[in-house]
Amino acid sequence: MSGRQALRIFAGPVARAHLEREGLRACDIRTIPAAAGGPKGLILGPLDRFIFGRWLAQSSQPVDLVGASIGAWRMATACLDDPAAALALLEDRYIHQHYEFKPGNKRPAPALVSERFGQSLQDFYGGRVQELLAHPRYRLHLMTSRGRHLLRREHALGTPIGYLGAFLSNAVHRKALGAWLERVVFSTPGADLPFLANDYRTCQLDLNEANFMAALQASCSIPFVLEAVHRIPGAPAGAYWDGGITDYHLHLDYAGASTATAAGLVLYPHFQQAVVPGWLDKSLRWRHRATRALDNMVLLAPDPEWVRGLPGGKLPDRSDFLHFGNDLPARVKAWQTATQASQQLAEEFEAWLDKPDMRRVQAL
Amino acid sequence: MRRQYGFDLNLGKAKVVKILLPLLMALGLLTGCAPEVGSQQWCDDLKEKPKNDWTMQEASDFAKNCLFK
Repeated sequence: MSGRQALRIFAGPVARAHLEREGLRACDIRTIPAAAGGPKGLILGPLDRFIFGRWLAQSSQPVDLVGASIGAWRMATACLDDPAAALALLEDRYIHQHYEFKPGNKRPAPALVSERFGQSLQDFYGGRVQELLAHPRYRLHLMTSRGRHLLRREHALGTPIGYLGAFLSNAVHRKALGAWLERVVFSTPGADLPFLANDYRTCQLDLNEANFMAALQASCSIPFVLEAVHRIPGAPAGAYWDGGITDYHLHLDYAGASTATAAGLVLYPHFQQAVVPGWLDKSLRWRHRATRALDNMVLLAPDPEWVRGLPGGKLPDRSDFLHFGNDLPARVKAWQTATQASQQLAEEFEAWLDKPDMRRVQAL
Repeated sequence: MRRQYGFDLNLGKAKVVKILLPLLMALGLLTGCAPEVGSQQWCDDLKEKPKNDWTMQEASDFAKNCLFK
């Protein structure tokens, strides 16, 4: 693996001009998004630990951290004291999570997964919520999707039909998805959204000790894999699901944010070049292109050729739970091999920061 | 003298094997070719099928198994 370059660097036009003038300094960064994508996010562990553990510590400006699903988990963890250690623990816990497959069942029951997942959040963040909400620099934004109409409550028949309606509406126009699902952002109290939210039906609420666990669990609750989260303290009634449904890769209008935020750069450690707007846009390739919303973004992603050298020739993903089934040691080994290899991403980024070679920077 | 009319159901073991085995194998092949509900092939096949022709069960299975892979 070591002979091949692992990291690819992409930049929107405004970000590229900045890099050409001044390179990339920690003080340039105003926003860090973290995408949904389940185990794919594991590949970003070493980059996260370098960025939050060492590099950003060289600066003092406020930074907005925006996360959906596993990205929400990563960004919440980055707000803890000693983020490098906390992020390493998160990686270890994520890799070792296991849901027993009973004979004849294709997947574990959503109620079981939700219960176990909720417990793991309690174990991880219990007693530390105030610590992360009171971070002196980092303003956390957890993305969730609140069901409307047929999706307002979880129901054996209504939920699949509702999501089918969402799928068909979204195929016509992304904004039409808003008829079924609202973007609800739970933010550090007092923090403005670091993006312009004119693109989609959006509601922003304050995070607090009472709703943090529920909001984070909702942000990770994939329909039909986990149960929706109902009754989040301080939030409108409804069923809350994975923030990745409305904002899969957080293709948000960062360039249109308030002047102070938009003046800085968005640094996006991601697992691919494309910034897919919503989960249901995955097969709609014409929506994967970069837009002006990402003009001030620097995106870091693994080279697809390098990815082919990982176990199974791919990034870790949710299909591994099915593929390895109850063979936990085999899955752990595959995922640990991938995360260890991804140390190369962090090393290459650190080396590039020292000598920012613009030939390595591609158009986003 | 016994006359037999109609279809003789009194088959010997060899005939049973000769006739029924290929039938069972053909049936097995047919069911084996139908993709399992929720598999990638099943999801892809359903995407190709006109939405008006989907049954309620297919719509529900599609949402549960194909949308959030």
